[in-house]
Amino acid sequence: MNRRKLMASLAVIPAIGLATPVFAQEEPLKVGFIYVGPVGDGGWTYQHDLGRQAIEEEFGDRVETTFIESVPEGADAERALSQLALAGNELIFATSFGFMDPVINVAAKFPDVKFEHATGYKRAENVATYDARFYEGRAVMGTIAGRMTESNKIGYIGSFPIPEVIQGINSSFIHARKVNPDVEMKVVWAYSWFDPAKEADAASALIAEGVDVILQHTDSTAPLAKAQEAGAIGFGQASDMSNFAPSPRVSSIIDNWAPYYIERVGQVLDGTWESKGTWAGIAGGEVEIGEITEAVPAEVKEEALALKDSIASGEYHPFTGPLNRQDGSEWLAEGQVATDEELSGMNFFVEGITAKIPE
Amino acid sequence: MTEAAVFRAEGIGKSYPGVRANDDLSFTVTRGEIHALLGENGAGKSTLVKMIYGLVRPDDGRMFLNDRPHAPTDPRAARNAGVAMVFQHFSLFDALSVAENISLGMENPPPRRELKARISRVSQEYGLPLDPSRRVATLSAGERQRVEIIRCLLQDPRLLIMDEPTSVLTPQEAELLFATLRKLADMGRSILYISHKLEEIRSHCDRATILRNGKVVASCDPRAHSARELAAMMVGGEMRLIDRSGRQAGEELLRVAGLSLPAVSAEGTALKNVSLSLKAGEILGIGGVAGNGQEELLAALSGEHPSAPGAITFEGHSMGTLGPQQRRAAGLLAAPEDRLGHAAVPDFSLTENSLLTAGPRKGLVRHGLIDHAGARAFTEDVIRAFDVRTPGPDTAARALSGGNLQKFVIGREVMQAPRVLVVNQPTWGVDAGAAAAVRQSLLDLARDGAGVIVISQDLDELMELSDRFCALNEGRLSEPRMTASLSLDEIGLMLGGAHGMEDAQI
Amino acid sequence: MIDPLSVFLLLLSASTPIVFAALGELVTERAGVLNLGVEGMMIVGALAGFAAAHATGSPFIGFVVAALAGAAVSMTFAMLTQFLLANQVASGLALTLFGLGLAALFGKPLEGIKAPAMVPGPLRINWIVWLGIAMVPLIWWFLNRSRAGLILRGVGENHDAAHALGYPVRIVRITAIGFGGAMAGVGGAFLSIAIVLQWTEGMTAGAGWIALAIVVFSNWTALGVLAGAWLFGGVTVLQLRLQAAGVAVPVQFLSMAPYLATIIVLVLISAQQKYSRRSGRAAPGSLGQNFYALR
Repeated sequence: MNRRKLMASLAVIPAIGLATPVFAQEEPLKVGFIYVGPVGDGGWTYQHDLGRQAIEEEFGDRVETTFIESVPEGADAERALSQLALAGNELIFATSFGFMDPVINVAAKFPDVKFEHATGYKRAENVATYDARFYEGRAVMGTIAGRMTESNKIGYIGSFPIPEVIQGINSSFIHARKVNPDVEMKVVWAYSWFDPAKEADAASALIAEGVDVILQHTDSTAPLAKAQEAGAIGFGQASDMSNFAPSPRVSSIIDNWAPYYIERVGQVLDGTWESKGTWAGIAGGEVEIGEITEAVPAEVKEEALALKDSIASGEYHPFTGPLNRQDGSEWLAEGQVATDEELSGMNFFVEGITAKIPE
Repeated sequence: MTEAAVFRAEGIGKSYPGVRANDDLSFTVTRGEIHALLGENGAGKSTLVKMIYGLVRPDDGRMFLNDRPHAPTDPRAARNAGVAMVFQHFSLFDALSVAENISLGMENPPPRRELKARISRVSQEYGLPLDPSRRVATLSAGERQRVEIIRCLLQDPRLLIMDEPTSVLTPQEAELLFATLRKLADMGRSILYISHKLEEIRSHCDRATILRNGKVVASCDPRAHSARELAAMMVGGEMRLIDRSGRQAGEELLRVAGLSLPAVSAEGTALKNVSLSLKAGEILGIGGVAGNGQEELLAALSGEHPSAPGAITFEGHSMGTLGPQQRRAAGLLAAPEDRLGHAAVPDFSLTENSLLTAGPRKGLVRHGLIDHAGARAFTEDVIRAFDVRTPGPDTAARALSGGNLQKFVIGREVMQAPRVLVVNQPTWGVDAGAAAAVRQSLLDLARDGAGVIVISQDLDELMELSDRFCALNEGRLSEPRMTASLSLDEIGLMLGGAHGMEDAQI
Repeated sequence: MIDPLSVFLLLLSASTPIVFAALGELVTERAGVLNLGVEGMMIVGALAGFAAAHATGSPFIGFVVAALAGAAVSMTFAMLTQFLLANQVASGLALTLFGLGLAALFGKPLEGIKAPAMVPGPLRINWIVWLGIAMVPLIWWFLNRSRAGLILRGVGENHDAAHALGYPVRIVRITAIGFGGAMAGVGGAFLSIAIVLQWTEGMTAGAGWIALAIVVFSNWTALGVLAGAWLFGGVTVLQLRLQAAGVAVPVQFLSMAPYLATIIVLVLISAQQKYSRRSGRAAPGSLGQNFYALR
């Protein structure tokens, strides 16, 4: 909030940095970020900020980075993006799905500025998109969850019913069921990426339903704290959340944006940047599996790591047929693999999940 | 009745920046007397009683209560010493019950149940009926005053201060109040009675101390003097006599027929089938106790509340559906009762306030632009003609005293040369000199051929001004009667809702 | 399918921050002061309470410190509005922004730390939850039966009359503001110590604003505050429980329900006041107005 105010005054400074790439070698390249949460969320935004710090470490004096945190999705985002563009940033990372339309709008007004939008699907001449195949990590978490549950009930706290989250739910469920045919999945939508009190209440609601393993696709550590209180287990989301290790946090999906950020900044510096959609996963290093703690039996850990390796090597795809949709209709035939188009538009649960996706 | 002094002031003085409010005041209130404190607004009465009640501290001089030095630091100390006060503007809490209000005014209130019992006992003893558990918001002005009085009586005060208590009462209620006060005096309590109503002081008070410009100018037995003599002492010279001459009733200007309107607020009263007729050169007085539809009647006539198309006819044109500005432009003007907030915007300057009502009629707004110079000149005219005491037209309305603002509010309308002017409580809370000026201006307006409707709770004023009189009771307007033929008793009955012959015929 | 008792127990805990904050604001508003800084006072309480609980290992000390911290920041508002006679709405908004910023600044080192465990009270419910419920009859009694409460209501209803009767308007109001701050602080600390079990920036996420709405919803009564807080908390908890139980619920509608209820109640209250000659208890007469002791 206050940092946003600070940035607002920055926007008044004339855009000296708006120079042609020829000068980019002498003047530091200015790179801007807007975050949906505070950098201290210990999750999603925190990881993006680690990526930003990695850029500074990699390129030193050649880059100068700034960020605006806690930017609400909507009109405020457009203002924040314009501020960054006016302040002379040549490359701007917008790190939430809901920034998609603001990015497209602002990008049209600043054709010389390059934009990178995380998890979205709209691109333009100067707007690239990037995402990570979190569902690959979810497959590993789902395997552990299926093995670890004693009540055979696992819970999932979703943020918003968008394809990225639905992929995660499906992937976790498929792999939990694979190792434990009795497993059931309870889904609660928080309708927020970051609302600690609500996430805690959601975790409590799941626990009250008999859930003993909680997966989350929201960004605070509140569900882990609740799980600990109730003797349940959970997983780190977006960042390692190792404060809660070895239990309740038994493993984690870590978003590692640093390789991608370094690659793209490097391309701007040498003039080879172009708009494209990037979707890397475990193999590319963007999705990391955090340490699987001693709370997990050795054979389960082994099984999980084996799955991770087979995904990384490209030998196995988490969405491989036979798979049916929730309504029982066939989605993927034996041996068939989901296409990226199908995944990025995913709006249904797979067979076996009883929860409904809110309209 | 012994002559023991209950309260004594010696050489009291108090200054405010630029004003010497009290200067070397000395007087004595004896046991069991009703002692009048008489003076115009600004004569220093309020400052004096606030010092006795501990709200203000004197700069110099000494006060004694029962021969002990009396120097209260706050109202609680004053109450503990035996001083109680009924304020002119009731200091009551609308949302609280009668019992809670009384409890707040006591130092050591008894438990709730006992307090209620004591309230009932005292209210019976003094003939002041009151239900302890009613919410004050639902009480009439007279009942509210009873709350204040009982609140004081429960403290067993030796000195009871009453600040203009009759200004909101009907004649009957006022009589009841005086009976209560007399009873109190007979029981040995002393009453300091503040007023500028000369008649009631003459008929009910044992002694009068008259203040002018912060000094005691006379101390006398009011019963031994005429009202005119008292007034002369009060204003320091002869009162200007009201000149009623030179008026002739002309053609009909305004006709109201079968006007019915819902109440403006939860405390208001709906108008029920009101009809009246007003001729040029005539003053119609409308009396009644507050809250009987006065506000609604003014709002209906001014245009604040539109009515049925045919209900109001002005110079042959139907006015019922028109708004205030259109009516103003046609010559039907009004000045509401609440001068600060309704008649004038408190934080606007006098010039800006002039513009608000005089804009259309005086051509102060042209093509959507304000003629500032014209507005200022008009305001200066009002200030001069009505002797409004203020630094100038740029002063905020809030900064004017009540009397001066009232002169401005009335003057602003009168100076627009209306065809019909409707005023509500034109001299409420205004000192005698200013009131006389306001009344004279209304008479002059009628003499010049306008019709005037005066809505007021001050019967003396209505008797003095109006040619015909009618009463507003629970939203119904009585048949008008010629003022000259009415006795005070008849008026009292009209106000109470017994509409004389009219009722008998129905 | 869903055990009503477990929903109720969850509801008790989820509504506690709002119960505290709204009861505090109720007392403040009954004294005639509109303090829109509840959110700011809550988050300062959340941080201070968490920090103290973490440093001492005692959640109890955490709540005491949270109350003191909430009261302390509320004094900036008291100074602005009671001495400098600043506009109450603007000062309250400033207090919210100030509190959020202050807590974000000093909260950085506490991120990611877990709260010390609390000993549960009866029915395995936190003691503070019971304290919050106990505050309802206490505050009702204070406002409606005690002398001090009567004076406080008098000050809120008509500060000029209260002054004329010799009551210290300013002192009463400052005390009420401080009490409101302390209650908001405890409410915030309950969030960090007992619900979320850690400190995170911006964790109040609008709870203070809901508390303000509930005071209006309650028609300025203590029991109404409890009812309102339980309605808000209850609907939230219930919809999460229904989701967890796999019942297809219109989540958006349920999220909207408490606000809808507030609007309906407001309409009913104002309709009642309009048509029944003020038999209902409306907002305090002097609410939001600054008091100038002219005389």
